[in-house]
Amino acid sequence: MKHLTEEELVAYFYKDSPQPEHVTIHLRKCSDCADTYAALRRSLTLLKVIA
Amino acid sequence: MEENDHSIIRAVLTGDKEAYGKLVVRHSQTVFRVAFRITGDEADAEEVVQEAFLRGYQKLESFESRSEFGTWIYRIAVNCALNMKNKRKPDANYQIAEDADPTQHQVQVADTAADPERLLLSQEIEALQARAMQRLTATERTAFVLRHMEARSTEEIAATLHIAPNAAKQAVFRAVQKLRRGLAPLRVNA
Repeated sequence: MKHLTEEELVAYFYKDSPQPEHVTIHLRKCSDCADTYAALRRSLTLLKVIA
Repeated sequence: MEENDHSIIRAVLTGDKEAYGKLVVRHSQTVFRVAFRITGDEADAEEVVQEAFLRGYQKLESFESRSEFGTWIYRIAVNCALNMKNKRKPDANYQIAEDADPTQHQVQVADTAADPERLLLSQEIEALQARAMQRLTATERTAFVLRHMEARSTEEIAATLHIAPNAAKQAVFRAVQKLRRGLAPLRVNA
């Protein structure tokens, strides 16, 4: 199975993915990509929104 | 009833120059917010606000009434802020040391799910974030701010920065990559 690239995951995070359903399905099936995406989400969520 | 932007603009263009102040009051907070997020400096952000509204005033005749003044002045402000970041420049050419050992400066934090707001108050985390933001070029920082903090679409970012949508997307992606590398010292405990 071909893994998702970091660029695809970033686009998915920002709801900018051209094929979001494809990414969602892949994340359900692939634990490696799911872990990578969880780490990405964690670091982006940590970034404080400057008031 | 509150006067809308278009009627204020008409008033300014027909000679009531003082009326422009109403637009400044109405939109300066939004303009300051994005300027501060891009420049990261209060004084610079104030300067951007002044410059953006001055440019807006000077170009008011070219403002097309079918668009929103708020969107128009916002875009002018983003470009003023971007120009200011480019003028300041030192961080634009900052190179991330590829061989830097992130564990040397590791900050241990608890699981973010527990209480993210409280964690983000940590000065160490804020400092790490500030440093990471400084590693971005002016365009990357602006694209990231517009995407991540202002929730603007790729198309809006591209239109604001006068670049292609794909270039805007790439700028956001590069920013995310650099920021993640900058935040690597944060070890999140499960």
